[in-house]
Amino acid sequence: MSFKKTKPQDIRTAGESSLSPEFFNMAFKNVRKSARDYLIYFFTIALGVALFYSFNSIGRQFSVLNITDTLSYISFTVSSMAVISVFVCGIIGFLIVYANRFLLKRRKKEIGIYMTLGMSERNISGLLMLETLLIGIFAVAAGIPIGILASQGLMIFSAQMLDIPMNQTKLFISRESAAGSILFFFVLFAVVHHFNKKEIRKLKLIELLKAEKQNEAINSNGFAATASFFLSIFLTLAGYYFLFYDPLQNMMSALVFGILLISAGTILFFFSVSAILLKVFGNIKSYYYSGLNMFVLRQLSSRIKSSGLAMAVICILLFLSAASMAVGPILGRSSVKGTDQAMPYDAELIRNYQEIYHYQGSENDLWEYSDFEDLNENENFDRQWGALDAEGSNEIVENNALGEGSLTENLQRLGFPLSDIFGEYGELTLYFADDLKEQAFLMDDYVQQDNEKGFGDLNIGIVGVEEYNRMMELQKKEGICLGENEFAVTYNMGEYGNIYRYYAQNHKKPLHINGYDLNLKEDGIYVRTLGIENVLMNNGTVVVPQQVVSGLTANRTMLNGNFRDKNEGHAKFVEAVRSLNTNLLWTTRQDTFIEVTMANILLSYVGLYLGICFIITAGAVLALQQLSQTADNQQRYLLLQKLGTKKSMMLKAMRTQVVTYFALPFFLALMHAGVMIFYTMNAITNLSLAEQLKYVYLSGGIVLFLYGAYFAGTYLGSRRMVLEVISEKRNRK
Amino acid sequence: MGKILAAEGLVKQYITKGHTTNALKGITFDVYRGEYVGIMGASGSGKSTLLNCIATIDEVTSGNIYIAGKNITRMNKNQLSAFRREQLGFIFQDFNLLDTLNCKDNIALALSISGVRPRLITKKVKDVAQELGITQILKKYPYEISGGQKQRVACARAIVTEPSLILADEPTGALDSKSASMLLDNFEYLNEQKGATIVMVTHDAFTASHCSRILFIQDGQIFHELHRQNSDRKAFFQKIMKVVSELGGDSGHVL
Repeated sequence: MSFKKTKPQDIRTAGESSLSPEFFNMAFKNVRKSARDYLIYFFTIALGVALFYSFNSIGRQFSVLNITDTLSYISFTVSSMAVISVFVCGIIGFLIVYANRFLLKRRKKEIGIYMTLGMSERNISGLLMLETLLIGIFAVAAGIPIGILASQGLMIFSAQMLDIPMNQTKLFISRESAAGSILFFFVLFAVVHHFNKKEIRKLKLIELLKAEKQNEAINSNGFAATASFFLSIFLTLAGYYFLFYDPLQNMMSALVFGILLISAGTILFFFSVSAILLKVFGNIKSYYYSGLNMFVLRQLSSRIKSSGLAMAVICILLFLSAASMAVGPILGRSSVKGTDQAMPYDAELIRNYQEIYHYQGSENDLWEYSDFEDLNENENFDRQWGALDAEGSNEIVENNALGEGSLTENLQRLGFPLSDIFGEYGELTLYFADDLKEQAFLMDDYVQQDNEKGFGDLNIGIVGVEEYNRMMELQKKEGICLGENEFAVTYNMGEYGNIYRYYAQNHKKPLHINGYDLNLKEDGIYVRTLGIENVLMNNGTVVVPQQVVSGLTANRTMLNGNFRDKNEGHAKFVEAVRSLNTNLLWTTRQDTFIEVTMANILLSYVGLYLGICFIITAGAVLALQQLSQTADNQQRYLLLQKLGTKKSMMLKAMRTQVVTYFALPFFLALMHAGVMIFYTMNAITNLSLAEQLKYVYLSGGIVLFLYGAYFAGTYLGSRRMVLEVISEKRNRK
Repeated sequence: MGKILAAEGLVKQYITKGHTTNALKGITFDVYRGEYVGIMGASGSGKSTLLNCIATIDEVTSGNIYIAGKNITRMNKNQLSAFRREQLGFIFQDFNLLDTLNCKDNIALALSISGVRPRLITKKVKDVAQELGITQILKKYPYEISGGQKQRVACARAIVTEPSLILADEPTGALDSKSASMLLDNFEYLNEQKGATIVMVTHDAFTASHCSRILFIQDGQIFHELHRQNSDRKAFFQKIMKVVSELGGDSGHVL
């Protein structure tokens, strides 16, 4: 061999080689060698893919559960998941880029060697791309089966929420979601590759070969730190107070203020805690100078100081995800439970005479109704309703298909196969009397509570007792036996309980309707539902002897019935009513149930989806920060070893750092979430404690599993890095 | 003998927090083909900065460096990569071997990056391993061998591409004296038998005594130059020691 230039024919390509089998080989070896460095990376991609798969497969899930989608609520939920997926995609993408930067940092020296050997930037990014791709393919291959399992879990969750028997659930695989997940990965991969190229372009060879990182200097202003520490405790307690006592008497604002105060407290806490830790433990000499405590304490406070905001954000994310994963399903389940009462028939047809009462397919969700105060404070509220009424009336005036006579007669005349569809049915006409409003009827003497402000302007409907009893028969409930001069009241809106109880005891004068004077029947207040409702919102209906209603202005007639054939009835009904070509309003129990439950299921899904995504974020960011901290600390551990520190002592120091770093935000978040969950559980009355706890355990389990996995990964990775420097030293001897 | 390296008025400034530190204050020297040049100096004298600049690892603030007739201070990143793989061989104090690859692959990597045909790679690696006496450890991984062996593998990797200039930064710094001697014998062999041009930074007078010429750096300037000429290594070592002690009461750092 001699130092002459290599002859041209020895060189395969004019420049350097591009991605050749050797590169592939090297990428494979690198991945195998740094498998544990890649662990967090692998885990995050796999979880991201699994999350993506399971939440995008819910469309298939509902078809497996045999839920029809007449009003497109399921498609709405499915597309909502797709929208949130974009957001989740963004978050996971950020994480992967972040994880990749950590890997690059770990491999600075290696990349430096490639560069000194003359490997071009293009080929270095090519090599890294191959590695990322390899890891990614494994991660996708692991993520999709996890996703398939998770989607079964999600189906069981939905079935439980919707009271669908478990034997209807079965294993399913959604090809579209799998394809989507793979696409999701490739988008991630392209983004990561792009950032990698940018990062590599920024690298300077001298820094790669010589880089060492410095700790953050702690300029501890004792007073400021102490002050913000106590302020943080105060803010947190104030947040708890808002959640528990709701001083503004408004659930939404209590939640918002509570969360804001707790978050502010958390941020201040992480800004001040490092100085406090150092102050308190630094002053206990017996602690400070024992073992490696001094080293650990300095490292930790430097770490918390420099990443205080990140840790606070992680803590808040954990808190919100733990809370929303428990609270979302509890609220959802609670409102699903309420639906038994709101939908006492299989189907309903409504003929409106005067105005369209807001009745069917409401876009407004539960919250707006229960937040009645807000609605009434809004001046436009009545006008909006008015507009809707006017529009509805016009349509009805134009409708000539329906004529005189009962709704049953009309339908029979139009050829609607009533007895074919319904095993049993009956109709009920609701009358309004102009002077019968809440205020005049029952609230003259009533002293309103704070949370009942704004009641009083709504009409009270009137029904005849015979028709009412027919409805009760359909509902398999007992009817009312009214005396000639008696009336009863039925309502189903919880807030009116107090008012009617008060009315029953304190009313003075008889009720005057249509020339009759009627007295309240003894114990004549009933909680019943007359039609199919999406939300319990009947403020009260007066049940009077049948002769009293004749001559009153009819508001609407509803025909309620139960299907003859439980399986085919719904489809037959929908088909028949659609071919009817009148503008009768109609609804079915099944559709209304899906409408109501989908809104709540959607809420629970969003809670779970974002919750899991946030935990992954929190876990991955903490893991990567701690791992790069340990990587930076490798030289310090080497120094400690040169000073004669025992291996066990160094491992203990590392362990203390990792545990503290993970435990601090975790337990703080757990405390916050606990308070919030406790608050919700207090407010929910229609679910048993055991049932509520089920969702709390579910949330806790998910948090523990994911966060724990990241903790374990970080611990093992850090341990290996410490052992790495120690044993390398031993080899050299 | 042609000029392999020409450094002209090299200046390197570091600016940190408003402070300007001059690591190199106008250094000019040449290295000819087949020379074995040592660069000595105390810590902080600028010797490593000088080597890093020549090695294209760092950039000079002003001045020109010509290697094999080409001005490396004017090259872009791609030209630099090509230049490194074609013209330069590196040997570091801490070896910088890739522990994912065994010794054979570590040496072969330099060739496969250069795009040499695979059948030639095997032969070249075998040849260079034989010359440096590392044939038996080729199948081993870096963590399985001693520091001296690692450094000879690194040396093999540096020369296998037949660069016009070999740059060594404290190559014996992490080695015991026996391994150091063996490595220096290798260097001498490469220089005398194979005509390799070597520039080596060291603070160790014994290591330096193997060189044919020594540049002494102090405070970023060339302070003295020694030629071995025909004196034997022992005499040259004495001469070096004399200069080192002249460097002021600082000899402790130098040694």
